[in-house]
Amino acid sequence: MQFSLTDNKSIQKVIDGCLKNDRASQKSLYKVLSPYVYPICMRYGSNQEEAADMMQEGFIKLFRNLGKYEFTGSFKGWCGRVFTNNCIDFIRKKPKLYIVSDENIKEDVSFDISALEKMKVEDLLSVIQTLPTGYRTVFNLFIIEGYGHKEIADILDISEGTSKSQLNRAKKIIQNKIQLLNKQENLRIANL
Amino acid sequence: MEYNFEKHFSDKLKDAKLSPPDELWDDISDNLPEQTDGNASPTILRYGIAAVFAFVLGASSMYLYMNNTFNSESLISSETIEQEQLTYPAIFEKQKQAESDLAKNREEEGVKIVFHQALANSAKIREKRIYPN
Repeated sequence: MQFSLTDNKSIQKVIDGCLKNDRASQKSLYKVLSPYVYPICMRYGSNQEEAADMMQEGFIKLFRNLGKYEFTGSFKGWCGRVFTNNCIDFIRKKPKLYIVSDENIKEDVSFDISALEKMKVEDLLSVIQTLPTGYRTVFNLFIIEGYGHKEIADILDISEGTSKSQLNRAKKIIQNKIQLLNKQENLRIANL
Repeated sequence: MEYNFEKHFSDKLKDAKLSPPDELWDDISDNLPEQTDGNASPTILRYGIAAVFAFVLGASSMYLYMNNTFNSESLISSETIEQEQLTYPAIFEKQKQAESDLAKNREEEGVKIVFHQALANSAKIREKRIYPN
């Protein structure tokens, strides 16, 4: 069964099938949707295994709640929010979420945007995964999902100040790592 | 600089596409509930076979049980025959008469069979006398 994420008729058909637990419908939705929601899980998970667990939980929740989609916005966006919320729930269940990293952070980094431009999505995701869970979650919610510090504080049950400081630390760590990877790549190319 | 970093990062990852490992679907489908409608024939077939099997098993056990009950009843009744003979002498007499009639008939049948066999034998003997060898 082939379907498109923008055609409401085929979306309705797939939703009906998924609600009846029809495996063919569920698999066709998985095939089309998974490349978009897997990066979300990779951003929030600390490694591939955790991302796979988040995917599994996310799809089970999605199949169960497809009847709640009201065709008012983009189906892909709605599914993305289901996965994002699932990832946040997953992280909130984990103990010791906000342990402050003792990693040395260089404060005076002059960041070169072109280094970021050059990087592949997979490499960027790997860099994000190296962050401590708290930093990573705040970074994702602020930079990618576009939430404000007040909203993040409410979602994660932390203070606004904690959210701000964790975001700053996360950004510095990521910038340091990107610069380092960029230097290594430049050296590798020079040695060829 | 900070704004640029955040915007570039967001643009790069917001609509990123990345395929998950192939085996992930197997893990997910293993944890999904059973199909409830539509292509349900395998489920119906499975339950149908189970129902037929249960019916056959039940019927044969019932047959064995009933058979056993009747046999034991006949055994019990043989023990109580004497009591019945005393309680209902007329019925017993009739039954006895019927049994002796049956035996007589069988005896007569036996005589008839013996008579027919003798007739056949004498016919063979006669035949041999008329047409020796």
